[in-house]
Amino acid sequence: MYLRYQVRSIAAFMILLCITASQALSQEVPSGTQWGLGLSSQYDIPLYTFYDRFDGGANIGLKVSFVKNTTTYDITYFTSNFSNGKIEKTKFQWVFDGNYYSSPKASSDISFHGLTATLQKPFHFSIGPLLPFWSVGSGFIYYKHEIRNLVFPGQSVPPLDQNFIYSPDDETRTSFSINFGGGLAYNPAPQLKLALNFRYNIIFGYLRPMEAWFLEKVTPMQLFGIGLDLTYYFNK
Amino acid sequence: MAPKFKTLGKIGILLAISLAITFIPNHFAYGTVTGKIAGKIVDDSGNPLPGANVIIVGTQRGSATNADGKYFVLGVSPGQYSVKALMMGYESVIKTNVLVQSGRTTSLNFALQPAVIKGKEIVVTAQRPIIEVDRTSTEHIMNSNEIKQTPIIGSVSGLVRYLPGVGLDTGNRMVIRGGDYQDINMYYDGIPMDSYQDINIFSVEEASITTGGIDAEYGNAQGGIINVITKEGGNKLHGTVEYSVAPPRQRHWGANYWDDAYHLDNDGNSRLRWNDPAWANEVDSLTGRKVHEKIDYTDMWSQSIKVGLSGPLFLKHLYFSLGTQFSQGPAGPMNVVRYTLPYTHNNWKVTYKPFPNLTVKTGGFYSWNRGYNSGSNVGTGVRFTTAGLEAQDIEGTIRGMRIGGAGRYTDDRNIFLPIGYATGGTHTSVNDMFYLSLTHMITPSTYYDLKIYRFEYTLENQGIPDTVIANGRTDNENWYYVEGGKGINYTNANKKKMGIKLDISSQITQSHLLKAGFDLQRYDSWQTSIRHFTTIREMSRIAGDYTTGKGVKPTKFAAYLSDKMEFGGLVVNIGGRYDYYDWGSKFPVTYALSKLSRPYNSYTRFRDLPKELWMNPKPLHAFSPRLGLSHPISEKATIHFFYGHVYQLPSFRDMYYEEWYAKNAKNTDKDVNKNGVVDETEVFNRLNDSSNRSHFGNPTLEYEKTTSFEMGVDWNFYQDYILTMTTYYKSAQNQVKGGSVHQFWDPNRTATAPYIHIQNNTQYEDAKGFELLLKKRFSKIFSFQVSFNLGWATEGWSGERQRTYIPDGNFVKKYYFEKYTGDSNGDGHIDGLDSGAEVPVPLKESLLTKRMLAADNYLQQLKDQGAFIKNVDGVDGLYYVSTHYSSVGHPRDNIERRTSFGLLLYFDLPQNFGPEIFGFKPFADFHANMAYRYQEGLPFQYTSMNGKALWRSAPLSSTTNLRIEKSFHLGGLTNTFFVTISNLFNNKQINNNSGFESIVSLRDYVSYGLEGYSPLYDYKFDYRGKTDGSIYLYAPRAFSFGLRLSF
Repeated sequence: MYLRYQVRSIAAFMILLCITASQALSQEVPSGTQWGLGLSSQYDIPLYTFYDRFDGGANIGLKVSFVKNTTTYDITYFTSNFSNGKIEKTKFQWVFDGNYYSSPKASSDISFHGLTATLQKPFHFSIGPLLPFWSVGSGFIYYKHEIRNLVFPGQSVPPLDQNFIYSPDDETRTSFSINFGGGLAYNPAPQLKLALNFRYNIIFGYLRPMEAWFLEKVTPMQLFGIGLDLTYYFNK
Repeated sequence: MAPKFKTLGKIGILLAISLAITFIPNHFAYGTVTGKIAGKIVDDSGNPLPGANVIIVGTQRGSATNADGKYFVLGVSPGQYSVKALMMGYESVIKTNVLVQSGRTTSLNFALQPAVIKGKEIVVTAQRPIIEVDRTSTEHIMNSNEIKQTPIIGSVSGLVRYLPGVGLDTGNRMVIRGGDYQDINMYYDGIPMDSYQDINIFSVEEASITTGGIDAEYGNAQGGIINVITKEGGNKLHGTVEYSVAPPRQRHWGANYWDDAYHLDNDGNSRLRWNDPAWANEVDSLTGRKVHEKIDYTDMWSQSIKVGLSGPLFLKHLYFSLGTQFSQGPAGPMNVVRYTLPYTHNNWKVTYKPFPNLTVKTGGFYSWNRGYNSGSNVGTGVRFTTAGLEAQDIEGTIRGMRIGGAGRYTDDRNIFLPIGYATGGTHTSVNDMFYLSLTHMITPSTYYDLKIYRFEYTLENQGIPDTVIANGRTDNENWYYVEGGKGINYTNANKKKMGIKLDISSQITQSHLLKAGFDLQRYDSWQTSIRHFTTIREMSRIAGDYTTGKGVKPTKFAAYLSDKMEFGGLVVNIGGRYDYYDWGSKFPVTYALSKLSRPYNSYTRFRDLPKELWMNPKPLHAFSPRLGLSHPISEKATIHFFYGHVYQLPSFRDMYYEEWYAKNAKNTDKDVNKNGVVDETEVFNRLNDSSNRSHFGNPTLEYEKTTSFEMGVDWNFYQDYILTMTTYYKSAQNQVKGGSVHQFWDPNRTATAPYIHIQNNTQYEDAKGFELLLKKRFSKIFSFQVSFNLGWATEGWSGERQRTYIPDGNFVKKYYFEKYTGDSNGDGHIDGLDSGAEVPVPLKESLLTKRMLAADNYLQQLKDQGAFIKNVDGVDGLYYVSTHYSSVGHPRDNIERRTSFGLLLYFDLPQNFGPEIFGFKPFADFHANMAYRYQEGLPFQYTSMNGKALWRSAPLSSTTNLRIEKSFHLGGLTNTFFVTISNLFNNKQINNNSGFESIVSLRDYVSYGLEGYSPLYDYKFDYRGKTDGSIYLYAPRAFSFGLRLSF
């Protein structure tokens, strides 16, 4: 519900920006030194062992942007949440009878809050009105991983008591992250920039192994993100 | 990159200067502590200028170009200089900010323009080359400016930990590329140290760490070398004083240790009954002291002060530098004292340059600290389990509390002993080093550097109790100690080392720099440890000639020859090193003789082992080749390659150690001559334990050896960004490891004889990995350094596991007996006229024959079985058989951290930066420094639910520290206020070092993600989340503040 509220707010803000931008369509990137404010949104797909845990989710954020000559520096605060982790539906095999059991009440979530700095530079060509760019960035990301109500596979007396549940300790950490990628930028107005981003993210964090559910440790966490940013620049 | 130009209109006396420069020879040595400047001087058309002069401004050092316009200046101390090139008819050029590093060549070329205005000089800021083209292995050098830019890390060892290839082992000690912490050698001003000494950061001119191949002049360091060069001082007085404080706080995770949860009885009730007046106000009848007094351990400030000073002394060309540091803070929760005992470290150096071609230096350091001895085997002496009390040795010997195993055990019986209560006494350790060095330029291209040095480490004890008292006095409820017992547990030691080191360098041609030298070290080292509790009585030592308090006197010698060849861009470093070691002490043919049923089976009886059975071990020899290459790939990239062998001696403990136990700790020494006193000859005559406990040194140990390969690329891919990628492989053989045993076949014993434990060259280790270093050189406002490491370290066993010595009949006849008598003077009585020594009684003929026959028969039996029997060198009639063992390699569970990552961020706003607000510029001279490090946990082996032995690794840990500084300039003083935040993000993470297996159940951790107790068990005393101080890494977020004055 919280996420729906955020998405609605972002949509309203974007519409407002477009309405207030009275300039004609322009294909030029703002030059000189400018600064702006913007919104970022991205869908993140976990990779490798992280994908064994979650399918992914959306992240949204606010950013401050500086442009000097053709280089853009963004500082972004973002938040995201992946819920319905795969362990909720994964079965474990109990060694004492060889059968597979699920944890019907299980829940698994991971939330992120991050502050990152990104550098963006355009390539020396354009595709019609679209300007391709590459980007690299880093920052710190706080994450909290919660798992609740798993049936405990470590029981040793048959039959398995499926009401014997446990919750491992939450995993929380603030970790360093790096990202690199690229995208396409488009200026619907001289002071507006819309960017489609593709980013590969690495978070130097750690999730404990849960090998009873065939889950290896996750380190580092790797994600691929596709996103859309909208920035409004105030001419200096 | 275009240099910056500033044109000055100075009138100079060029001719005079030129003449003066011509006659100033070069000086200073290009060895471990100096560098070289070399280059070419051309005119505006690019033609070489022979006879042009180069001078290091402010010194009398310089050189002149040869016919090709090339010059070199050898033996320049590390630092930043201005270098001037001049020639009649041309405008002089001064290049400032020329950085010279030890062991490196600074390339500095000049192009002189014809002079239009007489005396005109052009001043240029030299741009430090991005890529170090003469580096043939992985070496990182930090000069004093770079060290100053990283104030968040207050030590050389701290800085080094952010470099690729450097990790932390199970004991949080520095290791390099999968090696051991003992594999790192340190050089202090060119003097080899045997252990790492942390130096005041304000005294450091340059610190370098070689994690890859080392040059032939270095040895005894399979892991790497840390080279610290201290400041010399200059013509101006400079100094830095830094004072910092940290406010009171609880410096650990979890609940306060006075919390009831730590002090529960068997019924789960707290023993601390502050609300019970009778308990709370109980008074000790003997001392009148209140028994139960709660002393807060969180209300203390910590402080530290560091001072560095350098400059001229009273004579011309005489300079000094010195540094001192002192720190004190809370001793830790529930400790024997509230504040740490004082610790101080001081270093100093005096440099005298009486002539241009001669430099004399003297320097050293001195450190001192004090500590308390625990008079018990396990610290506070009591272990409490869910089953009840489990007493361990002497109780109550030292104030404090023991937390362990995630709070399952609590030793709290000593928490109400008075502050400073320690019946085991105190110890003081002193480390001091002194050296004298002479550097003499024989010719402009040849010089030598002679060093004489002395190092001494002393550990002494005070207040050791005379007797052992098992029980103390407790409170009315017979739980908390009011006065504890007394145990004896101390070590005295003295280690001296004297050395002489000579290095000669000669630039025989433009392309060949030959270096040769030797290092001769002589030791005098002893150590004695005594432990005496109710269940243990032990004496262990390192001693020469079997005499406690007398040192072993080994000699170490090394000689090397190397050539650094520079052909255009190709640099080749080739060399060889010879190492020699003489043991300097006699050893018995085997300590396993001490486990025989009768002869030699105690410390005093072993002393009387016949002379023929003592031997001098064979000296050790080793030759190690070293080859390094470096070549440019492009204008902005170079590749380097290294191959080499390094030999390293085992530790003194592995080589010389003796351990003697008593069968029954309650027995005092036997009064053999019945004179009512324990004479000197009778001391320790009850140390005759026949169990398998004892450890002894091994005189057959050889050098450990490592073969290293390395390849790396340095790439300046953009502006001042450098990427370094390195891959390495190290194969270590003959590593010393425990687990071997020696036995002596006993003709009188039918059962297996006890054995002694011995270290042996049986371990092999392999390490390989990949390192990445991305650096942005500091310019403008911002710079950073990122390092990443991916590495594998494995170990295994290959070598002798057990050795059994077997005598033949002749040996038995000469050396075997079964009884002793106290009648040392042979007068038929045992009385005070006897010395107290036990004298062997020869066997009766029939019994001797029986024993001889048994020995011969056993030998024959072994031969008939096809055993491979070897003769013990130099001892007639003594043989041995051995069993060997080898194992498949497995991860080094105390070393390997598969991945690690380090980040240093620097943010520096210059003076006059930013807006002015009410006459104040808040952003001017503002600095920030952030350090982030993460490392994967150590590997461990566990058994899965289906019985398989599997390897996994402990969780990763990370930490982030931040320091913010703001400087003001008043007169000639720079005042800097700073705030340091450690563990910035307050990460709470489980200890991934040693002890991880005691904190978690490994199977539960890997299978179910549990870092706590299994939900199967209802722990009555579940302290999870409360006893966090012992199971989590790093303290909670903390702030400290300080002020630094510099001039």
